[in-house]
Amino acid sequence: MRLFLLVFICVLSLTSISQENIRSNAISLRASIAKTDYFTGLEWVHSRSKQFVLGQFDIGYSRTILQGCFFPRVGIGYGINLIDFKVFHLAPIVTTSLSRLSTISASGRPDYWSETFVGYRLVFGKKLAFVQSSSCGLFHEMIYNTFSEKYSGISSFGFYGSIGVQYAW
Amino acid sequence: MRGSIFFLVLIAFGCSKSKQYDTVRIYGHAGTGLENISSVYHDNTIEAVDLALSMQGCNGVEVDVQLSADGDLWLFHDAQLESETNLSGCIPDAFNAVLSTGKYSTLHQEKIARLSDIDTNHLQGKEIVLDLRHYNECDGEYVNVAQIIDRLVDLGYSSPKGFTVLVNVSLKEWIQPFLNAGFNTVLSIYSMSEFNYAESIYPGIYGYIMKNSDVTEENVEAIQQTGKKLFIFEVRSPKMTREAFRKAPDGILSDDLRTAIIEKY
Repeated sequence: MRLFLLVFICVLSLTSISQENIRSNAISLRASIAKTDYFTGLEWVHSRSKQFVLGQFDIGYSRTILQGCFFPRVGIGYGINLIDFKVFHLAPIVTTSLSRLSTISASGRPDYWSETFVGYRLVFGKKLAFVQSSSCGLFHEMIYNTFSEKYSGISSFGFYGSIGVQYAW
Repeated sequence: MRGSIFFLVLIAFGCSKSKQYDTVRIYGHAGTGLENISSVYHDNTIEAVDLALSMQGCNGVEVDVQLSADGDLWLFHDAQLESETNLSGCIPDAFNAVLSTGKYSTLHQEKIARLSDIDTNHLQGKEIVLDLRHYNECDGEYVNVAQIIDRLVDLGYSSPKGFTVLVNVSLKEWIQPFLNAGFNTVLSIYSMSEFNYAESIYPGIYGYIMKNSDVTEENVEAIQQTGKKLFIFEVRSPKMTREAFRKAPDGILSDDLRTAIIEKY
């Protein structure tokens, strides 16, 4: 873990040195698959030189949408474009997100999931680009337990993969 | 501005689910589901059974039960232990001392559980379906039904307090011994001709279990008109769950409990 952090900080520092301070934004429309559901949503990316932060908002649909119930997922992330050509960018990313699923509409307590994942984000194109990202890591569920009448947490392995189109400006 | 925020919150968190399937009960198949990628725990483990029973809207669980060499009942789905655990061989040939060291090859490394490990306090007001395995694949012989019945009686499953036990058998020769011992006996069938045959010989049978793809809405109605219960298994995806609910059986054995609960409530 320490070694990972050290390498991460070094890479971060190296990429920050002597970079042009170019800022840009991009928004992508994407379809995703995760451990819990299929999702569609938006991802906003704000870049500064090689580094970028991202914000995600997705809606899960396979289990809930026909019942008129929404399954939202919001997330944030950080990445560095290690391979940064004109039309091709590849970046390792770290993301964290929170989902909320209401299984019983009237009096029930919703379940929550948090995901802390590492993965990559690949962009192919210029203003209009193809985006693909994959990540995996810690998947933590908070489920309401009817015996103890409180939430209990369970951790397991989770994954997330998405494809989409991005517009940059 | 406040109105817009309220509207956005309503879209993100609102629900208007329809309630069409009030009579259909939901059972967790082997705990929280069999071969379910989003399931946290391995099937037929105490963790999975407890989690399923603790979930809002779950009416009970189904578990796979096998008799060990020294007469105890263990929860395990497959015929061979090596397929998913650190042990090898078949449960009917294995002794309790060995089985109690068995663990699944999963992230949580859950222990192989005995039926007696299930906390019956968690079953209060709910139902448990025991899928009893009759065949020992390792030596090609049938399991001793009398030993299973004796052990179930020892565990108090013949006269449960505060919960209901359904015994699911797939060998017709096992029906009468369980009926004689007073169990709610459910037979696994694959066609309506099997149903007609079983009805003619074992009128005291409690109900039937059929695969989702083998049963139609008309079949369900025909079975229920005889006063028998019908349960459907192989209910995995949201589409299959919807299909199973539309057939209006007495219960579904869901491989994705959350999906089934969302669909019902």
